[in-house]
Amino acid sequence: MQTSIWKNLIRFVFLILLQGMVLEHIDLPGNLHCMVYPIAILLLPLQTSAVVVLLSAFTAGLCVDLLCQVPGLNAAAATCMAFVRVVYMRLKNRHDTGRDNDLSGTPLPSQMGWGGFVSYTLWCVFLFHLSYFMIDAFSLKNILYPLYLTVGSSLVCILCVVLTVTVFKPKTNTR
Amino acid sequence: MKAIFQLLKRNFYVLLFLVLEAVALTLYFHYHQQQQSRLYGFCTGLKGAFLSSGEYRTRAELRLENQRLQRENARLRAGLETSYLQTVHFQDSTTTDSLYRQMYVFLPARIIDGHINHADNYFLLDVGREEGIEPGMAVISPNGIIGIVDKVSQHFSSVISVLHRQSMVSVRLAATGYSGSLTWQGVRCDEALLSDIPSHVPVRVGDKVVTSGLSVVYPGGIPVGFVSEISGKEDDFYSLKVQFSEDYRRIDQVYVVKNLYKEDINACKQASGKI
Repeated sequence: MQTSIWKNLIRFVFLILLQGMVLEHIDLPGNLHCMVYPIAILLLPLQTSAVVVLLSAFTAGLCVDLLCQVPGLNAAAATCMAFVRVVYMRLKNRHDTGRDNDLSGTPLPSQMGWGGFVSYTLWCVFLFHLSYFMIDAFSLKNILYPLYLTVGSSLVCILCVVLTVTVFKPKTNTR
Repeated sequence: MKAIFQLLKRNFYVLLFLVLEAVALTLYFHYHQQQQSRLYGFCTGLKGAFLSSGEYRTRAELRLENQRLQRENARLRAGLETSYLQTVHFQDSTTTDSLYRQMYVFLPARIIDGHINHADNYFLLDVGREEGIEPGMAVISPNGIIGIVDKVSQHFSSVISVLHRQSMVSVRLAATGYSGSLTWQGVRCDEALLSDIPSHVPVRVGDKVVTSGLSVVYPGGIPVGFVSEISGKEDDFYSLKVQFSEDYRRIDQVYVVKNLYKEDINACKQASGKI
């Protein structure tokens, strides 16, 4: 359990620094954003309590905000994503009640199956980007532009998630 | 009562989510509406110190050479006609022995941080109060306009970029001299909207757009960009798309413009009730 906490903590710190100090200064074609720190929230162990998930996401977002000088924007989007994750997991648990469902590890393809993992990632990442770009624009004028950024940046982020879980192969651990 | 507590306990995460979201959004909008926000000032100082400590982005040998060239450019810019205030307006006047007085001076600076991919963008400069920077000063680059100084710390200052939805710059068409307002729509970082140009004025794609000099911030004649698309001919005013002459993805060396007559002009405006 101790190892798992440290592992997640190191992952959080590394991804926050990578986001705030490096990726924030890289311009992707089409003005898309490359967000990697949501991976840390996605990969929190399945049994992490809702309160811990929400507080970790809020703190991670706020840290990125302080590095990017936009206080509140990432914190709001990350909290929104954490809420989506909590609701998704609760709905999934309710749906799976009665089946032999192991909820002791990390949400990874090996644990959830590729279909389940991609669906979980898609919901969380898409709603993270949607809240991020809608709060940033905070206007219905040129609404297609934030939607374009949401779809484009979500695809980039999902690619990063898939690369992370296939290349680095984080181990399924217990809390 | 017990049932209510149980319901709250069961759905505590929803309550926590709402509280955290409210905190984050309050922070965000407070920061947006009040640029004087202490948190923002704290971020400016913290990040500036962090970035400058590691010789971020520049190589030492090139930096010295750049600084020398920039100082020379600032001196040359201060010598341009647009940096002077004409003090003699009649040929037969003998009230002063010099025709022009220095109106603008240019302080060299470097952009050490910033972003262009948000709806409202900022830059961070490596100069601050100690170097003579004050809020409200214009920031320009060799190819165009950058923004207006917002928050100043001891050695760093943040700049509200022209790529900010609240930015409004008074510009004119170099060919005809008609002036209008340049605003950014929050979409493309290389394009802005020029409005208030009457539709009877002849405008062509490629026409040069420069600052009008009608504000106390930017000197006149600083290049801004080129007209890239013309629409609204059938209305009273054009809606012109302007392609910026500066590539905001690559800017590094800039100049902070100090208007030596700013206080004089503002005092005059205040006396006449204009501000």
